[in-house]
Amino acid sequence: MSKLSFRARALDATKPLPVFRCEDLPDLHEYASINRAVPQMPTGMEKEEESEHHLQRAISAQQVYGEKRDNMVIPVPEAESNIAYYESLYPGEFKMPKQLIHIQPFSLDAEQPDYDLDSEDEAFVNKLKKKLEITPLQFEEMIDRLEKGSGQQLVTLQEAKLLLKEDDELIREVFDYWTRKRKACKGASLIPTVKQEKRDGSSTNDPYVAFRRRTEKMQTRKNRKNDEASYEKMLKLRRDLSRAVTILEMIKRREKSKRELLHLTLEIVEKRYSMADFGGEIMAEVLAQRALMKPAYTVPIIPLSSSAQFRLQDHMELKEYKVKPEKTEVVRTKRKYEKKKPKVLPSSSAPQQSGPSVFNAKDLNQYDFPSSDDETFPQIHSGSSEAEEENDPDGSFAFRRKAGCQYYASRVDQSGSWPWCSPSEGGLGDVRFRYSLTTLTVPRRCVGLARRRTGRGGRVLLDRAHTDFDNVFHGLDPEMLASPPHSPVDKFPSTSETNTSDRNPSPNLSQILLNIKACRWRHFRPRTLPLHRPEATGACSRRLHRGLSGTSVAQSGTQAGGTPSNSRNGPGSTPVAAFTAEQYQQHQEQLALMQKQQLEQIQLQQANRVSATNSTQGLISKTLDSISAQFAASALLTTEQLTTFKAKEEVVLGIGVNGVLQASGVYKGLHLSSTAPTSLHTSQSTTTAGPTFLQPSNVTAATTQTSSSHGTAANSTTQVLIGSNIRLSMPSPGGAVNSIANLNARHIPRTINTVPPSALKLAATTNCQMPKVTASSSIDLVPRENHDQEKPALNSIADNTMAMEVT
Amino acid sequence: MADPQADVTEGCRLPVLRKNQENEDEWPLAEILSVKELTGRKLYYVHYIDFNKRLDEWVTPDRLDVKKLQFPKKEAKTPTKNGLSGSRPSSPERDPMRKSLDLSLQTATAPSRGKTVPTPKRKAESASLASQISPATPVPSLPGSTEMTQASVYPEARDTNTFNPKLNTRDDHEQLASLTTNGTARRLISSQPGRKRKANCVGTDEMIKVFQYNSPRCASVYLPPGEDSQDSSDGIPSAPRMTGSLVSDRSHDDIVTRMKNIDCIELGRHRLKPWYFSPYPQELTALPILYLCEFCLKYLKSLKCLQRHLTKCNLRHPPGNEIYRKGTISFFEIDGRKNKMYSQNLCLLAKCFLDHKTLYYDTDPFLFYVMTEYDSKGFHIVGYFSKEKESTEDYNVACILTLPPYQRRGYGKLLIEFSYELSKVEGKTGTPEKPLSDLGLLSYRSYWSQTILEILMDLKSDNGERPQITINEISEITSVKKEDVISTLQYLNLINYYKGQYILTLSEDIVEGHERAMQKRHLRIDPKCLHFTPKDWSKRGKW
Repeated sequence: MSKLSFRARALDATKPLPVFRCEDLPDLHEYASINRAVPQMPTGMEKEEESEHHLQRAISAQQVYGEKRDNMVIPVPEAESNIAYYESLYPGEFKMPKQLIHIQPFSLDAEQPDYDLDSEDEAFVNKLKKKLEITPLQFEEMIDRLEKGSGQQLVTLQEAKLLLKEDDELIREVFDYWTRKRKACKGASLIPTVKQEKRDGSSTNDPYVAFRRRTEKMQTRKNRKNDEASYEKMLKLRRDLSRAVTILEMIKRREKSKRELLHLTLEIVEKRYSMADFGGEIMAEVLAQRALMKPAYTVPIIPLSSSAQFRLQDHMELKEYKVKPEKTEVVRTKRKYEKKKPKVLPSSSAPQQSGPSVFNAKDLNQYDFPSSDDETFPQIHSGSSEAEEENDPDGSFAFRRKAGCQYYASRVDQSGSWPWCSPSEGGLGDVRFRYSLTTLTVPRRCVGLARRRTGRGGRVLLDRAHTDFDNVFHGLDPEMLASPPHSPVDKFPSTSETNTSDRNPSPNLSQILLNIKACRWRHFRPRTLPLHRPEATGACSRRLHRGLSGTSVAQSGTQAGGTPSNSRNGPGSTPVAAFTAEQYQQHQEQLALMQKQQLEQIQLQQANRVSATNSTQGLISKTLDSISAQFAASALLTTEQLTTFKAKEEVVLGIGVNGVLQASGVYKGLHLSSTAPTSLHTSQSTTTAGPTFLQPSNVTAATTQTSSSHGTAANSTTQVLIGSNIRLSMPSPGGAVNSIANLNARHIPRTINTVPPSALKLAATTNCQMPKVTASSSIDLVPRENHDQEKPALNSIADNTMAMEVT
Repeated sequence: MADPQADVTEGCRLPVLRKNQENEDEWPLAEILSVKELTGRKLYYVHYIDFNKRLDEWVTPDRLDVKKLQFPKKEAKTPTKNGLSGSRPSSPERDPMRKSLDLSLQTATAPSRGKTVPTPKRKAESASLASQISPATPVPSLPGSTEMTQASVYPEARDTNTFNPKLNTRDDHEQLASLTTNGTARRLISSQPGRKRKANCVGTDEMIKVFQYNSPRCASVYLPPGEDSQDSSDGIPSAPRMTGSLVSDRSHDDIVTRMKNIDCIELGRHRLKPWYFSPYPQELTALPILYLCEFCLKYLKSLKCLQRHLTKCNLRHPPGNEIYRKGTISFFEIDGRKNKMYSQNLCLLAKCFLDHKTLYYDTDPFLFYVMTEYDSKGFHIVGYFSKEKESTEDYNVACILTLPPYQRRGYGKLLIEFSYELSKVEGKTGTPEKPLSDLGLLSYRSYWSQTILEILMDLKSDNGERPQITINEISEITSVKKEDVISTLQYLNLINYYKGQYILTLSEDIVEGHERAMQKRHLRIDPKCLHFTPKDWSKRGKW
């Protein structure tokens, strides 16, 4: 037909369709052939059902007749509606309320039993009624309880008696009846219920299982899954972005510093130019002058490839273009000391530092954050060894900024009230911190009057005071001073300020000695480990620290292997492995917090004065009960564990810029797998005898012995393993005992050096709070040990908060 | 002849005697689904081919025509119904699908699958175009196009409008055919031989759904579900998708669910013969009568138990809020999460009469609207429909049922009308979840026809011009989804192309038929009696 030659447009749902009556369009049939151009919609039925005979018949009938004929309907199975007993079954009437019915969904069927009595039960109940009091409802309630009380196993008579409140005879009757009926019952319960799905998934295709629980939330959008995976991805994205922000921030800082450095260099050059210092003489002079101001002692850290060969002139220029490996050899400090330089006695860091520390560049570098760190404080870089020493009194223990940490400025309002300042200076004037006669353990000599002070990060510093008797003091034989076993100092009048700062005009040596011996003078000696074994202890504890830091665990394996053998040689000659900078950064993080804690500790310590002072004499009069010690140790250990994780994670991550950590669960397997042999080993080492320790407590005895036996065996992974030891042993109580012993053994070398038992106990009671350096009168030879103990605790706090942030 | 029925085993086909509605004997072909022996006598569960499953029954041996026994084929992959005689296809589109299905069947069994079978394609198509009245003209497709991916099909489908006039029709047919063949072929490869029935139904069903939304806008959006369900239904049955459907995708069809398991249900005054399987507790399926409490629908094993239960159950209406009442008709809204027990009992009962309903998952994401009729005893359940609290696909009904005693009295249409009234309040258009049953299709078509005709007849022409209306307007007024409006207009043959534009024409037959039908339709929903405020379930977190 010619009319079909054009192409019709598509049917548009938005286009108005004129409505015609057929009679108005007599020529419609001419166009009728293209009616089917609009494809018909599917019916929505299943295909093969659509073709069913009755349906097709009904459809065609509809089309032919315009309505359904009775004989053309789809036949269905019959239904009857003539139940004769309906009236009796549903007695009574229900009046339609005027209002629409509103119903509280949970107010229905308060306490009606689900079980319904059947004819068999009725016969039984009727029989039972003759001798006992029972109603059908009561019976239903009893069966209901029995049924609901039974799972796979039927309720026993004993349990039934507990379940039911009826009297025993009735319970027994009903119980017997129920048991019989239940056993004969085919179904799972006498109360028929729709089969539930099984947890093992075996019921997936059981047609009788219905109403399975939907395990995941119904998807409301087709194309967006709001599942866990995407949530984690979002978290990761957030982490990565904030990391990028941090890095950019640091780059900004670095570039700023570079510019500053450039300006300074320019300024110097200009100054030198104006002074006509073309040969560099004035510059050298100035630097030499500065070098003269260095402290009298030598920090035993000399970078191996020291930059001493640097020409002074070169220094400024080179600094900026230093390549990274060189850079790392330079120990950096982040802070300059205040003008008043504390005189850290050279021996105060013994035995650990008695030998020249070999500063391992690698160690430092591992946790080194990108060069931004290095160049943020370029002015601290030193070109010469002298300058370096001056700027780096901490040597390898120099404070290094930890990535992702926030550092707060010192609080001016609190800085004044140090315990060692006299009240006139705004301090507390604590007796124990006044200038007193001080004897060092290594080298064993009296250094004259000194006062203790808690330095940055909790280290104990000794401020020396000059007196006229210095030469006398120096000549004192430390052994002579050691004799008085007890000296409760606080009883003495000499605690007055005048006395300790001693202007006493008795220059007689013997008199002084006498005074000291009679405890009229305070005489301070750090309580230490037995002197005949300092080397083993020192070495061991050092190793533990290294393990803790986790540096060598992951990367410098060769070094880790090398160190134990070295340490056996004894402390004097040992190039003791350097602490990683990481460690020291870590404890710096919490300076502000520690200041607070210090004060608290001091107060607590004062309360414990008696025992604390007792321990001054190197004898522990107070026996530490092993349980509390264990507890304290384990508390330490758990926090350590966290630290270990953290350290490890950072190794894995490479960077931990903003301190957001991965879940530590990943590493569990690692630990567990590596634990088994080591734990065996440690437990063995505990059993070896060697109680050479002076102190009476069990724990400490075990400690020394382990530490000594571990001198050879310990490697850098010990800490990690200890951490996981705990975890392993938790499920089995038998193993727990063992490993707790281990933990003690492993841990205490560090603890016991500095912490008096009272403090340990304190740690046990306060659960996580670590004793401070200021605790007790024991200025120790190993002050740094303390800091490390605090560190885990503090770190763990940090870790916890981070973890929470992540989840 | 010792035992002529000895060979009659499960899977066999043979003519079985049944009475039709005129009480005449007929011998339709039937498949033996199960054999059991009762007091020494064998009974056979038969499914009459091309009859709905609800007519399946246990028959005695004397009703079997053993002489014409067909043994099950070894590769019984064949869908039990593949469009043989006796049924009148509904639309030309359906035929190519069926035909191509058959074709692909052949090729699938042949070793060289995918080989091009030459077919007189063009001729067949032109035939289909020419003869609109004779609907059974097949448009065979090349089995080779089986290999065509959906992805390659769909862009085309998007470009060419679904409602193309004749020139594009051929393309549409081809696409559709290849589309379905694609799905079918996959099914055939993976489906298990033997007792699995209708192995291909899911794939094609999904394809139908996909095609239905194959308007330019929706095509890409609805592609994923098609693929999705194909994958999930391939091979081993897995859990159905969780999109809240109460409609079974049939991937779990096994012989148990193909057979009715309850003989009789007593509900209030009524005794109902279930039509389909329902997962009532298995121990209750052996009972001659399963007793239900008329109001809380609890199932009980005996009349005695029911009596006892009724002393404790004081419900006289469904345990929900009455949101509509006019005369004796009320509607109650029940939250599938808050009133699990009732919802589950209702679903179990409904499953007896709904083949495609699934009770696989819990009822939490559904609301149940129960229609009741009041008398002095209380509010008696007449029917119900369930509805997803949040539907991703514009469904406003998941399952809908008028209980058999109330069927053919206008209640079904009332339920449908109510469901659209709710959609009107919500300000949405809606459509029932697919697949529809035969009765569902008839009811919905009837409702849609009457609703749309009502609007068209009432259209007044202003200032002398022809009254006109857009499909979207019809959809907005009625809340009937656009696709359903179009399919109804087509079904009623109202759309005509006349002088360069589409027009709607109302024939005398249509008008008269409509007027007659409306006279009989006295049960109507009165929107004023509806007290319903839709909840925004998406904000609740829980359904």
